[in-house]
Amino acid sequence: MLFALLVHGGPGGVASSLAALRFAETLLAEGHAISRVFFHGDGAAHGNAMLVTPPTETDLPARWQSLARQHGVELLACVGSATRRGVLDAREAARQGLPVSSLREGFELAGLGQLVDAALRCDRLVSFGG
Amino acid sequence: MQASRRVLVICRNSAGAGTRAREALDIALAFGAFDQPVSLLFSGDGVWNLVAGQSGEATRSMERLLGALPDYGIEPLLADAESLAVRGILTEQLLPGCRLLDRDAVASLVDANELFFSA
Repeated sequence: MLFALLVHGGPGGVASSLAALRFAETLLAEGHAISRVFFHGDGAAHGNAMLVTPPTETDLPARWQSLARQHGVELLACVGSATRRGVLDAREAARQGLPVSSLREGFELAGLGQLVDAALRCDRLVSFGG
Repeated sequence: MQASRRVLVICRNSAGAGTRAREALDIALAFGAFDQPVSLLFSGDGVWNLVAGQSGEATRSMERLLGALPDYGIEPLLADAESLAVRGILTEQLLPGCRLLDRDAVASLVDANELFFSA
C-alpha cells in the first residue's frame, strides 16, 4: 500500500513525532511504500540543520534522513512553517536577505500543494500530532 | 492529479494561542485552491475564531482570512454547538456565515468525508 505521512509535532521529545518515525520505519520493513512525508507547523523544525539532539534522545531528523537515503522517501517541510521557524534553503535565505541556509540535507521546502498532491495520490494519508 | 477526496479540516485551537489555527486554515485553503471539496469545522477552543470583532493581531488576521474562505469554495463555517455552549459563546456573537452542528450532525459530517486534518 502507498502511504503519505503528515507530521505536525516538533522533533524535540514530542511523542507523536517519534511515533511517526517508528510508523514509517515499520511500514517500510513490512513492504509498504511511502511516497512523501510532509512536515507542517512545528514539524517543519525537523528540517533544521542547526538542531542538535541530546545524546539521550532519539535523533529524529537524522533517522528521517537515513530513511530517505535508504528508501527514497521524500521529506518536505512546509515553506511557510519552516521560514517562520528559521529553516530556510539557500534560495529562500537569499530571497530574505539572510546570510546562510539552515535546511538539513535530505529535506526540501515545499508548498501545501505538495501535501494536497500526496493526499490525492496515496492509498492512505496518516497524520501525527494534529 | 487524481479524483477528488472529500476533505474535513477541524480547527481546534484559537488564533491567539499560537500558529495552529492558522495552520489548519492553510490546509483547508490549499485543498480549496485545488478545487477539492472542503468542509471546515471549528471545535474545542477553535470556536473562539468565530467570535466577531475581537481585538488582537492574530485574531483580526484570522477574521480577515475567514472572510476570504467563500472565494475558495469553503462555506459555511461549521461550528460545534457543544463547544460554543461550554464556552458561553452566543450565536449572535458569531461571524456571518456560521452553521451550528449538534453532536449527531458532527458525526454525520465525519461519516461523509474521506480525508481528515486537525490542528
